[in-house]
Amino acid sequence: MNGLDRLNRKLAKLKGNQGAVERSVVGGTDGILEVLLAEIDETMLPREMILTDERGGTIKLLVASRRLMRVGAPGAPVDRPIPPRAPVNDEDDGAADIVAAVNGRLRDFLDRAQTLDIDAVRPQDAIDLTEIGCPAERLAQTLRRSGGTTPVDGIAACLAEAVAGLQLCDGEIARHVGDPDLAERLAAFAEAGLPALDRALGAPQTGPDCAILPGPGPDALLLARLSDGRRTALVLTPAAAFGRLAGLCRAMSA
Amino acid sequence: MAPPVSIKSLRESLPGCHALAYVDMEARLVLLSDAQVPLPQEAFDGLCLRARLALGDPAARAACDLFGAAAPPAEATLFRDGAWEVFVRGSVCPDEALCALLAAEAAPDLALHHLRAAVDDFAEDAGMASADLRE
Repeated sequence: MNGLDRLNRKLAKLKGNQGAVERSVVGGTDGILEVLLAEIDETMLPREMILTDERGGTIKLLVASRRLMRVGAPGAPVDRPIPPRAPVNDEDDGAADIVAAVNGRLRDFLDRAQTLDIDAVRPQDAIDLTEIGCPAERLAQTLRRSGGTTPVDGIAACLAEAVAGLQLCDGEIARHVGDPDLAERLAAFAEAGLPALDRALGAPQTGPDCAILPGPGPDALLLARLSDGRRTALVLTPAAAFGRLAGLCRAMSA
Repeated sequence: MAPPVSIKSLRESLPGCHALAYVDMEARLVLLSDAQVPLPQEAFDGLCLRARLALGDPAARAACDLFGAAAPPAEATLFRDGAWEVFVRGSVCPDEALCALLAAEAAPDLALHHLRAAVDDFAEDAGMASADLRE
């Protein structure tokens, strides 16, 4: 438990509760990721790290042999395993899944959290030896590269999140993705409603800008319009993508 | 009786919130406002205008058609000039909205959560404030 206590103390320094709101600053998520990676790098025996935010949302990290084996879905009672793949000795593919999960679900969870608690337990089930995971060292190198000078293609990432989406260039539809019926409705919105959103954003701007409008109902789709100053994505995404869209905006403007 | 929440205390409770206003989008009037550092009236007027553009017609009507919804969106989030702006329409007074200006690193979804819970309290407060002004 000494390792856990040490991690808790580190996390408390990075994201405290109530009196430490001012310490939730730019780079906070990256700082926490660094601490988690350091802890993963020191963990040999299988451990399930459970991060809990102030709203009771959780995300689980399965760690063993200095590797991150699995990133659980936030709030899900049972982790979502990575589907088995063949051949299982393709380490690059396994690592790519983990990197994507860290940059997606984990980063999203940390971005949204105001306070964090962490617990670690011995996993109930034995580690599946066919799960490859990603070594902490390699994960750190990859995250440093992706967080460094590589520009973020927010338009492509936004379209990848979409249930349906349009890519617009100079006001014209350049391509559409996803559900064709919804894409057709988006095309109608692009004519009737998008100019007002463009005006609200002061478009065209040289930098990134974004507008997000939720549909009716708690689990409704989000309407999002994201521009990098040259191209615009107009998409319908699941409501759960809100945090990732926000992260894209920050990354594009960094 | 003291109001349940003031515009200042609400702004201060939102991490990364630089400015907060309660506006009448239809009348284009800023009813209440507070800022971390003093802002010119034009900044609040701009928030009010953008709330109207994002939540009012024609964007609202087009969004209703898109979603097949009877009611227009109750909230909107903008990212412009490296900052977040979040707008939440009241249910008591649908022409009125809370508008928050947030730092880029702030969590707009958390702000939306707090503004949703508070917006209708301001409908009554702003109504009383308007009545006081008229008297």
